[in-house]
Amino acid sequence: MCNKDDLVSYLYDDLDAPARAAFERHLRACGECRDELEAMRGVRADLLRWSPPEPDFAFRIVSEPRAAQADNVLRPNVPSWRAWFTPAAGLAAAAVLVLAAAAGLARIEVHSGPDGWTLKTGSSPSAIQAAVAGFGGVRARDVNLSAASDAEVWGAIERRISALEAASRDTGVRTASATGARATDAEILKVVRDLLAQSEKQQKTEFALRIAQVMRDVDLKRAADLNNLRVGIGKIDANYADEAAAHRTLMNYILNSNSNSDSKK
Amino acid sequence: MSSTDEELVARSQGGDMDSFNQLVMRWERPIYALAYRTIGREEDARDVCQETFLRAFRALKGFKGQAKFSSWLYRIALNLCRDWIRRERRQPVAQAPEGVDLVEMASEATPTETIEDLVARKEISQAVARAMALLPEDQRTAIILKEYHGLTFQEIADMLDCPLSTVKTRLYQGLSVLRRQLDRSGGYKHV
Repeated sequence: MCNKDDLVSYLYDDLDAPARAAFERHLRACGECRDELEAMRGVRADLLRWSPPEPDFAFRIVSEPRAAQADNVLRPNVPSWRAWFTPAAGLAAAAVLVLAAAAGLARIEVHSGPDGWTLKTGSSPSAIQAAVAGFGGVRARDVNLSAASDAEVWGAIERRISALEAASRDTGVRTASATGARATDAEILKVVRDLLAQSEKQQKTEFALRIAQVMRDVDLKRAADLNNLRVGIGKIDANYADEAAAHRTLMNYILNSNSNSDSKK
Repeated sequence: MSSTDEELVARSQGGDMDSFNQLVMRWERPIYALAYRTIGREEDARDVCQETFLRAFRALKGFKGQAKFSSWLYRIALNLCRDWIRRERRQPVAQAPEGVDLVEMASEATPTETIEDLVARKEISQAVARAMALLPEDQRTAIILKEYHGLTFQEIADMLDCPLSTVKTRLYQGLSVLRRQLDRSGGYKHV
């Protein structure tokens, strides 16, 4: 049985001198290995003819302008190699808009750092932090975007609103029993609840409006893309029709020439 | 005189982004070629190439230079390709157009090459791409690293975490399959 490891090593010129000499002695005696070696050299020659397409590279690492912070934002200096005019790109843009709308409404901050992307809800202004602390120390929650689905993010927001409401109820009850001014505190509590409910309702309404706007944009983009496709297909059809007509003319000319020459004979 | 990879890595680790971009420019074509030949799709190969450098940049502080920088990059790229293949749950795609556009190809011909030679060259290239796409992933990877990137058997073994003899076996098996596939394609050879 021939040693195929040696065959491969010999093929790639990876044998030391003694091993090489030994394998060449074997080759002189073994026609099967000689044929195999020759065939594999042919395959290697064919492999060299396979070249990848020439890409248009534009990717570079750049630093984020807000260098005062430790995090570096990693991004290419072009948006992406993906073509932005494709229908899929329109949908992707819509998804980004939805995320941005949700982030704006829920006071979400998105951070990028060495550990990846992080999404932080309801934490940015210090005044809000203080207000939240005043309602029983409810803290902003950090949600890892890579692990959390949209439903989880919205769940986190909902939980935070509920926690705020619960904390405000607790604080209101404790304060009322301490001061004895139950009626006044109850009124304040009611106002706070109303404000929270109103704020939540307004946020949901605005979010629904933005979603509707995004859907309209997506539909328009899709219609435009379909129209472009139709125009493109029409042009291709026209080109084929022209070519077919030219072919017909040429064939007629050849047939006529043949028939003329036949008639002359 | 241009800096070595090791010098550029050291400067990049110190926060010099230009040095890292020099590494990107130096290695983006080989990494793209590796990704393209492994997964067979231009767009996805570019994405893998970009992601490879982003990951390398993020992990650069942890790179201690045990291996060559290029080997480290190859390893990241191969892992990403592997992820892609598993995610897509399919074999790589051989991008071989059915028709041959002679007008477009004519501009690619070398001065001494006839259009017939050029067509034959393209056909071989497509046949190779199709045959490579049929190979099992481990054999294809071994052939790509050896044939197109000139790695030693030992470097490939280290990169793929397998014994040296396994690398040779994969190469032998892969080349044998390619030989049969290319023979089957027939007709184009030895022009």
